[in-house]
Parts: sequence; C-alpha cells; structure tokens
Amino acid sequence: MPSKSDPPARSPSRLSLAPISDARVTGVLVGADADPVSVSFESLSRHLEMPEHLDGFIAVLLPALLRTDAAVHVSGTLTREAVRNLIEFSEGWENWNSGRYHALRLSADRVIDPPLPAFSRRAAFAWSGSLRSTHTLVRHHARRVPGAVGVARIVHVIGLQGDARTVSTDAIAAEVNKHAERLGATVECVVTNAREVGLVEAEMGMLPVVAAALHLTAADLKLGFHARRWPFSAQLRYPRPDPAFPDLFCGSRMLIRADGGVTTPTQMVREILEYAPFLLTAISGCSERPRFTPPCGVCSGCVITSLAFAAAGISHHALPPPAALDVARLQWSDPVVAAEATEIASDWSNPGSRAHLALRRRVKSDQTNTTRVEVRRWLASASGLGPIWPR
Amino acid sequence: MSQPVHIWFEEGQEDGEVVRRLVCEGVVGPGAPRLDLWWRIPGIASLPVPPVLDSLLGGPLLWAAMSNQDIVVHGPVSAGGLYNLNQLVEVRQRFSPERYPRAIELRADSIVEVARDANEPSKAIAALSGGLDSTFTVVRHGLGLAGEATIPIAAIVMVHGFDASLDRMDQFDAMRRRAEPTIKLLDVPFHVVRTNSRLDWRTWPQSAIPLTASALSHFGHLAPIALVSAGAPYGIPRFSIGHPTLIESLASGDWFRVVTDGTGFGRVDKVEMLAPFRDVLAAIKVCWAGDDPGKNCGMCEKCVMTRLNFLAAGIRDAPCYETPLNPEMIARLAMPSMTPARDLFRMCWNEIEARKCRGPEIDLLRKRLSRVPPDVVIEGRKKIARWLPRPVKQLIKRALA
Repeated sequence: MPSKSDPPARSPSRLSLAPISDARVTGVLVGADADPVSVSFESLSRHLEMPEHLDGFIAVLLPALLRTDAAVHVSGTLTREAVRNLIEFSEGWENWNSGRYHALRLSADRVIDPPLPAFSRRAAFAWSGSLRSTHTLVRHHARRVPGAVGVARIVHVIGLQGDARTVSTDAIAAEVNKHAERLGATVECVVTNAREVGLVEAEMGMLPVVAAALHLTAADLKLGFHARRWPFSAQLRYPRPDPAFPDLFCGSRMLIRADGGVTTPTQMVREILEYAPFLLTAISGCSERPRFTPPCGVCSGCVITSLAFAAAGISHHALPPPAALDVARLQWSDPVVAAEATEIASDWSNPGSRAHLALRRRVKSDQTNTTRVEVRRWLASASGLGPIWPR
Repeated sequence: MSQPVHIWFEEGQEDGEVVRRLVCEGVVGPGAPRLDLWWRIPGIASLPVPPVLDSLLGGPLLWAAMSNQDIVVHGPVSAGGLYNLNQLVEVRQRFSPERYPRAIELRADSIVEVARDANEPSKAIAALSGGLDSTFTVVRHGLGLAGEATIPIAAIVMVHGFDASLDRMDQFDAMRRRAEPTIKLLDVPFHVVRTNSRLDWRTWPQSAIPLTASALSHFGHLAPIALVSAGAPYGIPRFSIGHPTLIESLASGDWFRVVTDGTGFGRVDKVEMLAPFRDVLAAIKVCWAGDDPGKNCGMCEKCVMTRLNFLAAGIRDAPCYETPLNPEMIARLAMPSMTPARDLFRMCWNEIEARKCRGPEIDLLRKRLSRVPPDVVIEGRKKIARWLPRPVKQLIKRALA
C-alpha cells in the first residue's frame, strides 16, 4: 500500500497566516527540516481582508507539500470540502507519479462544514489573457453556454508568466482594466510571489495559484471560474498532459469551477470576434513574457495563438502571420500543443494557405509517426527487446 | 435537428411503495414517441418530493443526445444542475462524436434556487454494487478509514436494474445476499431502488454514474452527497472515457451532488485496504458470467484480472473465489486486440509492474500482453489476410498466439 495509510514519518509542517503588512496577505509554511516558505497575495485595487479560512493558502502550497513529507497542520480554519478535495488531489498526484508526489495528510485547528453554496448567477472569472481564458470569459458574458453566469469580477494574477519584474505591475493592471471594463465587470489584479518561491510546479500548472487568488478575492461571490488549460483532445493522446481532475479546488464556502476544453482554438477566436472583438488585442499565449505585454512571437504558445487567428481568417495585432517555419517550431512533444495544433488544422476557415498546408503536413506526419511508434513498440515488446506495450 | 424531448415528473404509490416517473414525450428511436422511466423504492411508502429534478436527468440526457434531440424539462431544475448537465453532454459529445452527433441543449421551465439546511452535516448516500470498487468506497467511508477525507454514510443503496436485469430477481437477490457481510459491518440503513432507467445498453457504461446518482437521489433529503466509486484511477497512462471522475462530477446539481471516490487508488490498493476484512473480501462479486448468480465464475477476464489484483496485494487465494489462481486461467484469456486487453493494462498490469511483482502468473501475463498488437496492425492484418493462403495464415496465427 502506498503512503496513503502510513503514519507520518515526522512531525507535520505548519501553515499559518502572518499579520497583514503592506496590504499583503501572507501564509507561512514552516517545515520540520526545510526553510519556511512565505507566500503572499496583494490586490492592486483594494486592501485584502484576513480570510475566514485558509482553503486558498493550502491550495497554493500543495506543490511544495506533495514533494516533501505531505503532512501539514493548519493553524486556523479550513472548510470540510477543501480538506476532502485537496486530499483527493494529492492522492491523484501520488497515483500519477508516485516517485515524486506523496498523498497529503491534512489537519487544522478548526474544520467547518457548512453546506456548499448554490450555483450563483454571477461569478468571478480568472483571466490570464490566454485564448482559453478569454473564451471562457466571453462565452459566459455573451450567454453562449447553457446555464451561463454573469461576469461580475475579473481576476488577473500577475507574476505567473515571464519575468514580471521587468514590467510595472501598474502598467499590466492598466491594460487589464482597459480591456475588461467594456465587459462591465470590476477588475482585480493580484500580485503574488508564488512563482518566485518555487510554488509553481510545471506539471501541475498555475491552477493552485489562481484558485488561491479566487478564494482570497471573490469570497463574496461564492463562485469562481477558470479555463481548463488543455483541450479534452489532449487527454486522448499518449502521453497525456496530467491527471484529469474534477473541480478539486472547491471549498465549502466557494466553488472554483473549470470551464471549456471542447471548443477548437479557431472557433474560440471566431466567437470572441463576434461577441467581444475589443478583447482580441489582449490575447496572448506567450509563455516567455508577462501577459498584457508584447509577446515573444517564437514560443509554442505564441505560434498556436497566431495559427488560431490565421485559421479564423484574421491576424493577431502583435504577432506576424504564421509561416511554415513557425509550424516547424511547435513543441509537438507537449500534448497540449499537439492537440491544439491538430484542432486548428481541422478547423481552418480558408484552407490552402502555406501555413495551413504546413500544419496539415505536420499533423499527418504526427499521425504516421504515432502509428509507427506503436508498431515499433509492439514488435520490441513481442520480441522481448522492449518494455511491455502499451503501458 | 430533431424535435425536443419533453420531460415531466410524476410521483405516486403502487403496492404500498413509492414510484417516481419521468415521462418523456417526443422521443425519437427505441420506445418512440413516449418513454416512462421509473424508480420504485420497496419498503418505503412515502418520501419527500425532490425540490429539483437535476439528478434524474442524467440518463435521458445521454440517450436524447444520441438521437440529436434537445430536452425541455417541465419542472424545476437548479442553476448548477442546468450548467453541469449541459457541460456533461458537451464534454461527452467532444469525446464521442460518433455516438453523440451534437451537444444538445437541456432547458427547463423553471430554474430555482435550492439551499440545504445550514446545520446539515455533509453526509452521503452511498452506492453499493458488491464489486471491488464500491465495496472499497463504502468500507473506507463507512468505517472512517479515509481520515479527514471521510464522508459519513447516511444510507447505502443497491440498484436493481443495472447489473442484474429487472426480470432476474434471482440474480439481484443473490447479489444482495452476497453483500450482506459488508452491509452488516457498516451498520447503516440499507435500501433497494428498482429502476428501468438504464433502458437498453446504448449509453452504458457512460450513463452508469449519472443513473446511479438518479437512484441515490431519492434519498437526497437525508444527505447532500451521492457517493459513488471510481473506475479507472487518475494515474492511468491512457485516458479512459468510460466514466472518468471529471465527467461524472457533472451529474451534480445544487441539491444533490456526485462525489466519485477512490480515483487516487488502484485496484490493488483497494484490495490491500480491505485485506483486514476477510468476510468483506469474500463477499466481493465482480462478474456476471457464470451460471450461479451468487458466485464469481472465476474464469472470465474480470475475474482473472481481480485474481491478479489480489495476487499483487499478496493474496494468492482470493476469498471471493472457490479455487486459487492458476496460470491456465491467464493462458485462456482472449486478447485478440487492444480493446479487450485495455482493462488489463489499466486496472491490473500497471500496478503489478509498479509493485515489481514476480511469479509464473506474472511472467505469463507479461508474455500474453506483450504480444497484443495495436489496432492498426489488426486492421492491416485483416486486409492482408484476404489474400493469403490458409497455411500461411495458420503459421502467422501460431506465431502470434
């Protein structure tokens, strides 16, 4: 049996809140034999209050906890739903990669168990500026999804992509405000040091940080949305991006819901063009530079964005039209990139351009390669020369 | 686009027991134009009327999606239920466009706000089929073995109409009798729900959890959570679209929500957790292949897989079988292509490999699995086979056996 039922090997880490200073809310994790980790959140538009519970802070600290002893005691309050969900999240990661992650043992001074909030008519939306998160925002704003909720607040977390120290946070906030105010929602830009202190785990993505920001800034709304970071088609590839979790960042006081993943990037651009064209200039998939600043233009995120725009028949304001060379640069080993590129290739408004043909050739070669790899692995496995196929 | 299906809710009492119905009109396909889905709760003469219909709609949603028909519900639905069910069909359609041609829309006459009592603890109504997964879930939570993640169980429900068909009362009775040690151990109220909601097999197993939630929801006044067991774990290298936890949670509404338990555990983990409860292990029933409905046949793929799960947990002679595992059982498994072998990878081999298990049975399984060809080879082989003389075909068959 894995460590899930074993007693903790050493005394648990402790998470507590530090007093608010410089308008920052800070959680401090003190481990038995590790340096303390201090993670803070600051809103650029208001003073954050001390939270009633620490559901968000425990979420953001998960990557650190799961890599180490995974036992933590919270000096404060957690909600019962968050406790259950985050334990499940940790069990899922241990099941995914038992050599790297350990299931969480979680306790708190106080665990409250109120009924979960009902689905509200208005919600906070996390907006990173990516095509996916912009589409989630727009499809709810324009009531394009059955059961859509109103966009009451937009939350942007600064400091997750690129080096935010090179740009003024006020300048980023001004850009976010400029675009978002036309949706009639209030904007909350949140600055965090989560990435600087090593709490962003590439395999887990930004969601724990975003969930923490939503818990801290949108408790009054009781409902927060974020976009899925992958299309569902990426889950059908081998290898796949990560474990497909349900909404495990929900607590008993607030629901954090994932949205999207079924629309092709091309269709996302079309719908944004139709319902909120003023947001098109905000879109960036760049992984190298902070969002709401000029994109690098060369990373896979930029190439996918530029391809999606070209496929929808428009050009991106800050990216050159994609060329065959850009297609060749795509990191096909990343299942999300490969799945998005495949979706774009099959949904191109005016087929036949050089970029489209290059993309189609790349998709075709990917499919051929997949078949070839399968056959090669099978032959190696059947002849005893390779590991058993498929895993 | 086809006409929409209109759905009404009815409740009554027949032969002294509660009977609830969804009357579906305008249906295209089998049963057209009117289908009655019903749930009967033996031994219970009355129940509080559910404030919303969310939890009853998951099954009809999927077969309406197969027929490309929208749904109009003439009754109350919660805002969360409406959003979730529409998301459920959107995701299902994305995964299986050949089965669901369009992401149909579910609309409701009235969208209502429902709130549970502020002092109500978050207990669960748990489903028990008697299989390994559901036994693990009810024991884990019923005995508090999940620690801080435990969800206390308010009642256990066994559904007649899923694994055992409605005309096989003998099968269901055997299933219930077999699960008695587990039910007795947990000492919580036990109920049976009889239902025809599975209809034909067209949407199974994708509708399994939504329909289980429907059955459990009749006791939604007792607890806000439908506790169901997971199938494939989170960590499987290849995604399973059968019933992943991510999609099952979308069968939730604001009144009654689905919690899928055990996705962080493999089947061997589950056997290990149940190992101290020998009577419970002996009660596990995983297959319906044999002549005796009260026993596991011991020879089918599911049985051999479960025997191997026990073996990986250090239990060679699994108490839910009358005979111990022997290599002959593995040798007899049919593995013509990846499709039938996939469960053996997902639910068995990956864990055996991770635990570095050794032994003649493991060696044989490795040998068998390593020879399973990819589907593309099967297709190619079929094409080539048409042109090959019989002796050559036999030679190839023997080499691949």
